[in-house]
Parts: sequence; structure tokens; C-alpha cells
Amino acid sequence: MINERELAVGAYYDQQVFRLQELRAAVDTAVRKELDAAGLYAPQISSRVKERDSFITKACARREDGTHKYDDPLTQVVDLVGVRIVVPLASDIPAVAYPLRVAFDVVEEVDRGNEEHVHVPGYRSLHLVVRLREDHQAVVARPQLGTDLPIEIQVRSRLQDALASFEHDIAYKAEREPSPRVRRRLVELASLLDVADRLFEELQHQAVAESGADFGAATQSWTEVDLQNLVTDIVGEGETDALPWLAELGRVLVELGFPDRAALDRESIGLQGGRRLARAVRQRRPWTPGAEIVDLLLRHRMGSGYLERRTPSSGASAHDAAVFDEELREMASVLEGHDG
Amino acid sequence: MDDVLVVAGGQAWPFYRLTSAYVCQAGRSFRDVPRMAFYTKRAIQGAAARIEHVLDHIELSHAEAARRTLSTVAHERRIGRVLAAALAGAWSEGPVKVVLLSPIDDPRTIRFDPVAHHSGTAWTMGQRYTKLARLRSARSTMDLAAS
Repeated sequence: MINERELAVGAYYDQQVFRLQELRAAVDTAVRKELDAAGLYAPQISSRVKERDSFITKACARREDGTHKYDDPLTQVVDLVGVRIVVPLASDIPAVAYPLRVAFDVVEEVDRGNEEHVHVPGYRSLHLVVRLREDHQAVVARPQLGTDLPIEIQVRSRLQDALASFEHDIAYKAEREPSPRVRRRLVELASLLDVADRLFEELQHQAVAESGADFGAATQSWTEVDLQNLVTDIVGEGETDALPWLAELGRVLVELGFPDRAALDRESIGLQGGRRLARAVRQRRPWTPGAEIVDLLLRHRMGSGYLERRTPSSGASAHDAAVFDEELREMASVLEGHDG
Repeated sequence: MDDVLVVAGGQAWPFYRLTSAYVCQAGRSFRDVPRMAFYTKRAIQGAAARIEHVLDHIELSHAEAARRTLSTVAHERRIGRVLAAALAGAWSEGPVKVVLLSPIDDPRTIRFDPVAHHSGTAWTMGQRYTKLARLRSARSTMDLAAS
């Protein structure tokens, strides 16, 4: 049976729905513009107007003692228009929040999961409740949007988003609150994702540090893409070497007097035969990276010139030269002929 | 006096055959013996390789493997290839101990018939020492215990 509150809330929604849809579009555009201007990498942005039934259910929700959860649902339900921003990692959230705080009037801000005394893992995200400013471009162009309606902006990481979606699916499909046992398992899962989020962050830092350290002056004009293309050209499609291997190959090429691909191509040392060499080497050492195959081919094609150019910095001895000659002889038999 | 270190591990034996090396956690202590053999599949496999170099606390990482492999110094290249093989296998990045061994088909590696172990428990789950002379004549690990 429909009660008075449901009727009133439903009527309010019907009256506001077109304005809400306009507001959603304006805020969506504004958020994208702000984040783009801030140069933020790859956040996923989605927005929606809350469904009528969902709004009525929330606005008329009751506590266990039977009283209404919201005394004034029309002002207290703040997510009629919602924007969700999914960033790669939890550590990316503050960078997204900053330009939003500048662009909108922030009415409320809740850093869920980072409140004091939180000792149980679970859904973590930043929730901002904002309003458009009077001088906002969208309001100036369309005054009917107004500045009174709240907009909820949620910012969370990919893993947090996956967890929240999963929790929602469980509650939705079961059509009731999850049991204590299911909730306990969800907390365990949240804990795992929390750790995974931090590990991804550490990996990202490590990768950036390695990238910065390896592709510095020592590789001169060679970039990761140049080097990967060189490996692919010589060894074949599908070769994907780890970054440190490419960086080391770049250093070797510079030592050999090839500061970039053009310099290498100009020398016309003939780098055909890479696929044949790769097959032969990988029969004995299947894990051999493409960068090593390129290095071996350079050794073979350049002969003694290879060691002469590199030795000043690497200190190859007579023994090294003898081992080098032995390897050249082995490669010579492999490289007779063409790639099949 | 014992002169062969026998290490256990299903992966160590094929790894040796491919790389002529043994990799274990950094800091693991061995007695100073000249040879290494491998216990796996309920037998001491039939090769006692010469221990050429022992390098402890080597950083196992792609950067280190690449730096050494593309070096012009033959010894460094060999270590780099071992590191690359370890990374391609089950090893995670971090400090390791690398033992360079004579290759399986090298005359310095002493070959003998595998020494079977017939007990219900493993002959070793870590490392044990024995004598090369006994390995060369033993039919089973029971013979290794004989004085």
C-alpha cells in the first residue's frame, strides 16, 4: 500500500527528473573537463540519475525501531545525481579529489575507510557531496540548473570498485541483507583487495623508478619503443622483453656507437638471421630474451669490432676474447642460410 | 672425507642440466667441498659436477640479469644467463646464492649410475654430504652409509 511519504517523494521526483537529467549531463561534462585539465591519467567516469523506485525506497527507508531513516528525505538524500570516478589505485584518489574541490562547492566529504578508529577492512572510497557554483559556466548558461541540488561524487580504485559491485550483486540477487557469514567472507575479501591495491602501488613505484633509472643518459636517443621495435624486427613478432633488458640493450648499442636506430641502420651491418639464431639459441636456453639475441647477432656481424668498441668500458680480457671467438664460431654455423 | 654435496630438489636437477648451475637462497651455508650432486625422484642422480664458483648475495632481478648477460666478460655473461633462467622459472626477485658447476657433458663432471633410495622417507630434504668414491660404486643409498 502506497503511503503519503511515498506519494510525496514520487511527486517530487517526477517534478525534478528533467532538471536532474540536465544537471547530470552538466556535472558529467564538468568533471571530465576538470580532470582532463589536471592531466590525470585514465580515470573511468560514469554518471547517473537515481531511478525513481530506488529513490522512493531510500527516502522511505525505516530503522529497526520503525522510525524513518530520513526526517527530510528531499534534502537528506544527496545522491539523486551521482558521479563515479574509478582510478587505477587508491593512492590516485587524492589527485582526483583536489581539482574537484576547487571546481565545486563541497558540502560534505567522507573518506570512507580512512576514518579514525577503522580497524576492519571493507568498502573504501572518497565521497564528496557538492553543488554547482553560481558562477559555474553551466549555471551561467542554463540558470534553470540552479545551485541547490546536491550531487554525490564517489572516487574509488578499480579494486574497490570491483568489491563494491560484487557486494551490490550479492545483496541484489539475494534480495535481502547478507548473512553474518557472507559479510565475514566479504570482509576477508576486502582485506585481500586492500593488500592487492597497496602491492600494485608498490609495483607501480618500482616500475617508474626502474624506468627513470634505466632510460637516462646511458641509452641516449633510444626509447623503450625503439628498442622493442628493434628486437621485434630482428627476432620476430611477439617478442616482449622486460624493460631492464631493453635498457641494457640500449646501453650496449650506445657503447657500440649507435646512439639511435638511424645510426644503426646507416652502418648496414646486416642484421638478418635473427630468427634462425633465436631458434637455435632457444633450443638450448628457451628463456633467452630477444635483447640477448640481438646482442649475439651484433657480436656475430661486427666480429672483433664488437669487442674493440665495447672493451674500453667493460674490460674484456684475452680469455673473454677467446670465449667470444668460440661463440662466433658456433653462431656462424647457425647463421649460414636464411630465416625460414 | 666427504667431498660431494648432495642437494635435494625436483627443480634443481633439470635446472642444472640446462644451466650448469645451482641457485638457492642467499646465505645458505655449505661445507667447502669440490663437487655437487642432486637428489630427486628417490635417487641421487648420476652426475657429480665440479663446483667452479660460488657467488653469494647476488641480486636476482631482470636488471641484474640483463647487465651481466650483455656484458663482454664471459664469466659475467654466464652468471647473467643463470639469473635469467631462474627468473624464467619459479624464482622471485631478491638476493640468491649461485653455484656455477661444470656442465653435465663436461669431462670434469663425474658420471655414475643413479643411486636409488628405497626407504619410505627422503634421503635428504635439504643437503647431505658423501664421498665420490662411494657414489661411483653404490647401488643404493644404503651402500653410502657403509664404512
